[in-house]
Amino acid sequence: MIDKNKLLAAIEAAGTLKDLEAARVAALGKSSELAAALKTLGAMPEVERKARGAELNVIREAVEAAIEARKSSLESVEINAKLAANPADVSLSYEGARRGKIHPLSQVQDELVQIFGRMGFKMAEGPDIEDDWHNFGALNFTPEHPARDSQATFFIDADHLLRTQTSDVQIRAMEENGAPIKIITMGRVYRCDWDATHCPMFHQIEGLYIGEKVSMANLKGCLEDFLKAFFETDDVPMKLRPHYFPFTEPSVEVDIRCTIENGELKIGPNGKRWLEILGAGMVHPQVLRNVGVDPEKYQGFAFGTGIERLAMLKYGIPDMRKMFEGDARWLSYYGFDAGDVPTLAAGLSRR
Amino acid sequence: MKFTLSALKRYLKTTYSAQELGDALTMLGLEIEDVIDPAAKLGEVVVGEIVAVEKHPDSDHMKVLKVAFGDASPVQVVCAAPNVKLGLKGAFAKPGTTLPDGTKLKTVKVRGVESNGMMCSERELGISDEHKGIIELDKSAKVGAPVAPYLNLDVLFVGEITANRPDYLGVQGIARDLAAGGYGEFKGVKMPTIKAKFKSTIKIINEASDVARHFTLREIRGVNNSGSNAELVAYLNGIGAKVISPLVDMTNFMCNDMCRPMHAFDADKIKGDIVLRHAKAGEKFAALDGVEYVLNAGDVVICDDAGIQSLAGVIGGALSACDANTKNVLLESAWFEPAHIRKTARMLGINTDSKFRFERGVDAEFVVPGSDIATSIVLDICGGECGELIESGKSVYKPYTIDFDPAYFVSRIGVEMNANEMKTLLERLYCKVEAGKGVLVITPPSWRADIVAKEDITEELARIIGYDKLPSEPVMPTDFKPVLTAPQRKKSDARRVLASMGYIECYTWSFENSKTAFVGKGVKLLNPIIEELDVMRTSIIPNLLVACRANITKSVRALSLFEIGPVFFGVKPEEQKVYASGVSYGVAGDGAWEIPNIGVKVQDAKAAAWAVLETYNVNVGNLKLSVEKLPDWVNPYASAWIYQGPVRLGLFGEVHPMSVKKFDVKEKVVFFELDLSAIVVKEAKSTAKKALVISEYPSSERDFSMEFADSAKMGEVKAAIVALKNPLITNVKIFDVYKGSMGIRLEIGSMDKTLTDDEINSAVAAAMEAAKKLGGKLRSEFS
Repeated sequence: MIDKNKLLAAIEAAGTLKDLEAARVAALGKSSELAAALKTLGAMPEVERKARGAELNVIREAVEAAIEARKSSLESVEINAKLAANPADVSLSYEGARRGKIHPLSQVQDELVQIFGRMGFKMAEGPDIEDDWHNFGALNFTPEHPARDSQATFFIDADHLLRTQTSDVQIRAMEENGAPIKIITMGRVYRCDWDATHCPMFHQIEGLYIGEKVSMANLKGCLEDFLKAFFETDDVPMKLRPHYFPFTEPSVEVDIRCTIENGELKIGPNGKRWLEILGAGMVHPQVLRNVGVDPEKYQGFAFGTGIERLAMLKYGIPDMRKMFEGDARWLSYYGFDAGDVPTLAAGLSRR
Repeated sequence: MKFTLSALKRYLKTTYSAQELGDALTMLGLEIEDVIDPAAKLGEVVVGEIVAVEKHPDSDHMKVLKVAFGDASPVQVVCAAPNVKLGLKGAFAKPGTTLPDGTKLKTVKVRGVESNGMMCSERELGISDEHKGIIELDKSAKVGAPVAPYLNLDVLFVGEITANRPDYLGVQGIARDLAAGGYGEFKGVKMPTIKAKFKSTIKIINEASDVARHFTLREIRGVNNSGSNAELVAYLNGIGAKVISPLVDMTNFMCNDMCRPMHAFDADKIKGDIVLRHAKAGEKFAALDGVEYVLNAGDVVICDDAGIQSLAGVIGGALSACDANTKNVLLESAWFEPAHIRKTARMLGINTDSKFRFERGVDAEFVVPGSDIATSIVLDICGGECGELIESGKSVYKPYTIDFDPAYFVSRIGVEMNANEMKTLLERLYCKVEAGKGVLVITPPSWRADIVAKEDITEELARIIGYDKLPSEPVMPTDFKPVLTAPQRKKSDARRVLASMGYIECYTWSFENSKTAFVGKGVKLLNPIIEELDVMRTSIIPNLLVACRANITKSVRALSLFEIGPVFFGVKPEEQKVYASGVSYGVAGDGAWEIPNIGVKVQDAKAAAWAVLETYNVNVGNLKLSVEKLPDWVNPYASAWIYQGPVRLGLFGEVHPMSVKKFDVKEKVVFFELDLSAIVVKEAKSTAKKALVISEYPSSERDFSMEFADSAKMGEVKAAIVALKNPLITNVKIFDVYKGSMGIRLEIGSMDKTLTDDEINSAVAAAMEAAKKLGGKLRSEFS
């Protein structure tokens, strides 16, 4: 008679996979009692064979199951021993991941595209080296116009200069597409000035909207919505002051009510001062005539401001000059992650 | 433009405060940058009376005073001022008072004697530089009362004048606009009656009447120009202008007060007649500012027999300047062509109050009245008698009318207003307004030459009613088309791709230093901001190297920087390109434990370039490299041009060590520079992708290793195997590169079945054959 319990006890006693294999061979191998017993089955009469066969199978299945269970248990011990011998130091972190950054000027430009895109503006661009006509003449700066003095200009030759404003793109876009037109433009502009608050190169955004019924009320609405969206606040007290630009009439400068405390801009009716933020106006009929648009049929507005200034106000950046120094410490601190793509749907910037 | 409240009030009857008037002007279009009210800082200083004076026991020049200042009993004060005397009433600051310069007074001991406060000088109160003695007030001053009202302090306004409003360059014009805005009543200007006593012998010969359109002189004989006139001195002090002599002070007063620039010649220094003519190039002129100018052809000069006495409208001459001994004077009042004045002054680099006004256009109708007023002032303050006006030309002002449809205003501004309201407002601006057929027929006043068309009328009405009355209407979109064109969007995407690869974005100048420029000759600036930024850049790499250098000095030991921006090969729009450029230096990860300690490789730059190109939908599999005619600023053994067919898209590799040295950089720097303008962005026509077919059968991997004599060809080996287009080779990967040998791993599989060994081996053999053709020798084969 095969002692099932003895076999199972031997399996349970196996301390290693090797011992277990020996126990398996002893229990189920060619020279095992079970194998010998199975061999005797053939000579038995059928009834007896069936009964004896079933009996032996029960033993075999029990042994096999015990071996599997023991094997799994031994393996887990062995693996755990290996794991214990090779611990990972979870306290240690990667040190060297290079984090690329998006410059705040690019980030703000992406934000502006979102905002003005929602109002239906399309982006237009133009060259940085301009001719006198596109930068001045077509914009109603006649030769020797005193307003030219307010735009300290870099000159290339008698007819070429570095654009002092992105308004040249308004001219190029209207020369090409006429009216109606609804564009924004962003790009580098240049003024011959370099001190704590001026750089010889900076960026502007301008908007131009010409249609049959576009009024100064639309200008005000457009600017209000822009400031609300950009600064992410519902209440932007705004003051339009009369000003003068040769290419708009009426011309205004736009102030917002705010307080700047420790670099943080707080906009609202309780602000301590009015801060100039934009220039704007109704496009001068002569400018429309200059690009072949009929001012009796079409009218509209234009506005513009500095992108550096917007970025500095919004993100509390103190020194404009640092924008152009390529200082990795500055860029890493004020820059934005590649994945931080501004969208109106997800909230422009308060992440 | 600076002006005082007292000057303003000579023209304007008003009850508004200085601050209110300043705010009103800002909203009318004259931006007031500062309202300086010295009285506002004197709140705590009171009238004090010296009720006792004794000698200081330990000083010869100091006195010990008792000062009474109201209800409290008199206090002891030590004072060194020479004008101390019993009964003097002055400005007393008691301990605890903060003076305008921020000093807070305390009780102190002066050479052992206690002093409780200070009797102040004008300088100590910040109202002038006077510091010879303490302030002496009128006897009637009330002891203990705030001192400010007894000091006759004026308020100074500092405003920014826009180029279209020369009328704002005189106090008179500012007052007129405040009155139009409803901030008071304009008092007008009282015109004097001038009685000429003689006819001058001097004649005007005007050979430059194209510029000097209206030119007048008046001779005044027997003047006394010594000393000074208190009223003019106070006026000029009030705006911080220099006091010179009564005659010159008068011209400066006329300029600031009435926007009527004038010039006073010493008549005794004028020889013969006055000739106005265009200068010849190179003529020299000694001006009042002590500078000798070399004139340009065409500049208009005012001459006598002795030479040039004045540069018309810009600056007077040294030769005929008035001084204390001047007995006879010649007063000039004129109107010059504005553009000419600006050009002359701009070319010579001169800025004067006179030029600033003439170039903007002064009131053409005020040439003669201005001369009359100036003459009467001279007769008043310097005495003498005047001659008849000598005149060339006449006023250039010709009245003109503008037809204005009230509906135009409503449409442009969005505010309802009827014709009668408009008429009232315009008349307040001294426009003549008559009713025409459905329009208002408007004649602007002579001093508003900026009002020429209906848009100008619109602006006048809008600013007088105030922009705060404007309604607000939102701007709505009309379609769902993208805001950005394809290249614009790609540019923005490329930035984020590079940032995701560890590159930090920079914005550097569009200028560079011609001495360290890498590529060709940049467009030169006529007036660079500094010598080191004298040309427009032709590559972004030099500017990025400048940034590398700055970071290295700040101990940033490893860095990748990029910039996407313009470069310039000419002044035409198509010669201005957009480049994407990047540089890297240092050890990857800057020695972090988890990263193998290896320095930057050209492949780092290549990977970034390829990522940008893929963003632009360029099929990078078809790009070709070339090492033909590499520029001398790159390491020719570690750089290559990138071509898409015949179009050169850029360059990558290592900056030549000799080139980085120019920027004081010793590190190895790898770079890429792509011409984004050269890429034609092909946008997918359809958003749907072709259906993906993937094999259901397992694939096999086979590795083999080859040696090459010329290690530069390894990238081509892979390309050659790919180019076989063997349907069973589904992937090729270089898994090892060491000196001249490379390990290649093939992935072999089929869409239709599990491959047999023979089929696999034949695919491997084909790949090896391709590699051998490129000079490879088999080292080993593994599986």
